Amino acid sequence: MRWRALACLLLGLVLLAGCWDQMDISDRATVLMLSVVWKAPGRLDWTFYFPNPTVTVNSQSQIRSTQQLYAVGVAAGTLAGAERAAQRQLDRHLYLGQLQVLLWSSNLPAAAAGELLDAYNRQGIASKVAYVGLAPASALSHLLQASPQEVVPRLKWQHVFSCAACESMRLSEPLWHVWDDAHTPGMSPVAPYINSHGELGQIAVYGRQGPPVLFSRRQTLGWALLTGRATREVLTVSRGAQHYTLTAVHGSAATRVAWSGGQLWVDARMALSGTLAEAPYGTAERPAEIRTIEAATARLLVADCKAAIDQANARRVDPFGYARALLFGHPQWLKHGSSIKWSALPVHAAITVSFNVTTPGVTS
Amino acid sequence: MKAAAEPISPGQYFWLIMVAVVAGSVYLWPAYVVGLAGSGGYVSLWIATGVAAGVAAIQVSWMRRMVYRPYAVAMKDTWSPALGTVLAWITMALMMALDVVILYLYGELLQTFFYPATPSWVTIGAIGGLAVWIAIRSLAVVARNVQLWFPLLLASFVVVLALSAGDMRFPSAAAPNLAEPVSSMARASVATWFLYANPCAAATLLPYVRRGKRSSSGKLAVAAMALQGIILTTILFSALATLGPMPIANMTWPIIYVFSVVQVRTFFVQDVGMLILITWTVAMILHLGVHMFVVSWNVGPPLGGVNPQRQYLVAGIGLAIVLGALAIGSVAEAKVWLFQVLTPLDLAWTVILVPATALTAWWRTRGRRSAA
Repeated sequence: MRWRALACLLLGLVLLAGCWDQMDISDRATVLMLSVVWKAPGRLDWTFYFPNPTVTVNSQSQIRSTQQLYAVGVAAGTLAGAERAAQRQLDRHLYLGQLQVLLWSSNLPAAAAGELLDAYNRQGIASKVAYVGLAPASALSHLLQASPQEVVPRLKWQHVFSCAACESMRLSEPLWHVWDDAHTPGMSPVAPYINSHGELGQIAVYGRQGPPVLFSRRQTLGWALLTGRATREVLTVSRGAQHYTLTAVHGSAATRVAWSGGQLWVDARMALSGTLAEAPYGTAERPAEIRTIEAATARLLVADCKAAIDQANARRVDPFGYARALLFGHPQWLKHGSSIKWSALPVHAAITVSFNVTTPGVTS
Repeated sequence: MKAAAEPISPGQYFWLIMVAVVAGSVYLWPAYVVGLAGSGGYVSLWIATGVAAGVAAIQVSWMRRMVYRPYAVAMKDTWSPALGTVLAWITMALMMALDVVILYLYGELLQTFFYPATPSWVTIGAIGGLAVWIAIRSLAVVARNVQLWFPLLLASFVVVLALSAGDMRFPSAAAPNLAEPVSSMARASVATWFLYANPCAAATLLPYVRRGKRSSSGKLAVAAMALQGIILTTILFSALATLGPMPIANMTWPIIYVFSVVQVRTFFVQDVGMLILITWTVAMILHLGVHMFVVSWNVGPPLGGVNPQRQYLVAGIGLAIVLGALAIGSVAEAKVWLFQVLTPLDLAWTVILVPATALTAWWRTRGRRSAA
């Protein structure tokens, strides 16, 4: 009996621990980044980026940044087709479980982007916490070159997106957020946009169809303020010929959403603050002076928020999730009012900003 | 091997009841209910929990009236030998049928998220085999295993749930919605029953609790249902707050998705949420083990005390469950079987049979004093 029990136990250990399914790490082609460029309906260019397996702990410091990653490019209509085509070029098993960054071209239409996200999300082992981003099609391959600042398996864009201290606004979105937003009525999916110079500071918003709507830097700031994502923005406020620079601009937004007369009404009140970092030479920081700067800054930020709302209304998107907030409060409306296109509703917003300037400078 | 003999403590009884419900099928929660009733699912959950607690309470009082005879014997004494046996057998068959579907779906979950290259018969067979190995032991050994492991599993589950708190983006979506139509909440309640579908574990195990502790142990069966209800409520809250109701309705296994996005950067291992794999697999093995144990005691030859053939019976039951699971064609098919056939059937059977049995027993034994 004891031997039988021992045999059962050993068998169970082997089977349940998954040891028999294990694949040596050197037999896997671990995809770290994936870029997708949209060419035409059903025609996409896919590039899978892998860490160069010849990079070892000892060689890391000597190896050139251009040699740290190797890329496999294929043309295919679907993600599964691209994986098969890439697999044919590889001598290792293609593995998406460690994907860190998924970038696609900013001309990818909403339907194709939704299909891509759905197909990826269906794969149980594929990493759902990979960061997503959009970039101009022409710049993608250039942007994805390994950075001299990083040594694989660390990647520049993974760091950019995960570095909370680097961002002035919290723009980064993991894949599962975007997928989740795409499947929630009353919300237009948002992803960060990297321009052709490799700068992050704008968002791209997907409407119901067509390519994504780009928000300018100013509109993006308005969006970030309204969604409480501004963390350390830098602003310059002008009063006549005098310029004041505020740093660490951040704060929270208290939003109330209401449905009245077939319209979506939003009351957004923001309590923001910033640090006075630069003022004209010789200016004394008197309370009256500070109050004027505060009022001017508040006016400027209200205008930014309005610019974001106007852009959203003009392009029939809701990157703020206002209609979603409304539906979360009244879930039964979804079933009865299914004819309403919740994420394409115009928003009537009342925006109030109260700004507080802090002056913790060494000099005053 | 001794089949009866050593009694169990009230605490062990409590953990056995905990593991006999919910533990094996929790991984399926709450997709279907959210699809039917959205954030009205809380109400549906507590209706189902209330029914389960009521059923447990009735069974316990029936057992007391039957002087804590073994379940199969008590059924025969309540009805007639032939009818009692048939009713007990149907109850066991329903329990096994639900186990078949739940085991199959768990094997598919493992394949989807963890072992894509492994055929699902390997994981299904291994889990079934280990459950048999546990169920052929004597009750005291099974009870001690459950008593040791289940609190640990519960603790690790709470840790993972707490770590996932950072991903909860929509607390407002997780507020209970009482305005949901009664019909959809009622349908969601029925669809929740599969979690509690163990019509007889509470009654089967009670006679083996230490003499003198039995009447107080009955309350523990109700408490076990309530505690499982609380756990399920936190899971429902976590899923709704993390994903929102609409995406959940599109998913097969939302809670594993919620756990798979848990990232803890300060730990050496980032994907701490995957700890749930171990928790759920052990819970599934214990759940099936206790069920196989219960079935083998209730369908086997009348137990005077010792039944050396029981281990072969358990092996046969385990084989039937594993083979049944392997015969299911697809996840979609299994979900239809689970939610549209077996769960409503089991609920109807339970809410009719259990009170009917208790009433019949009360009618037959009226005038006699119930045992302590």
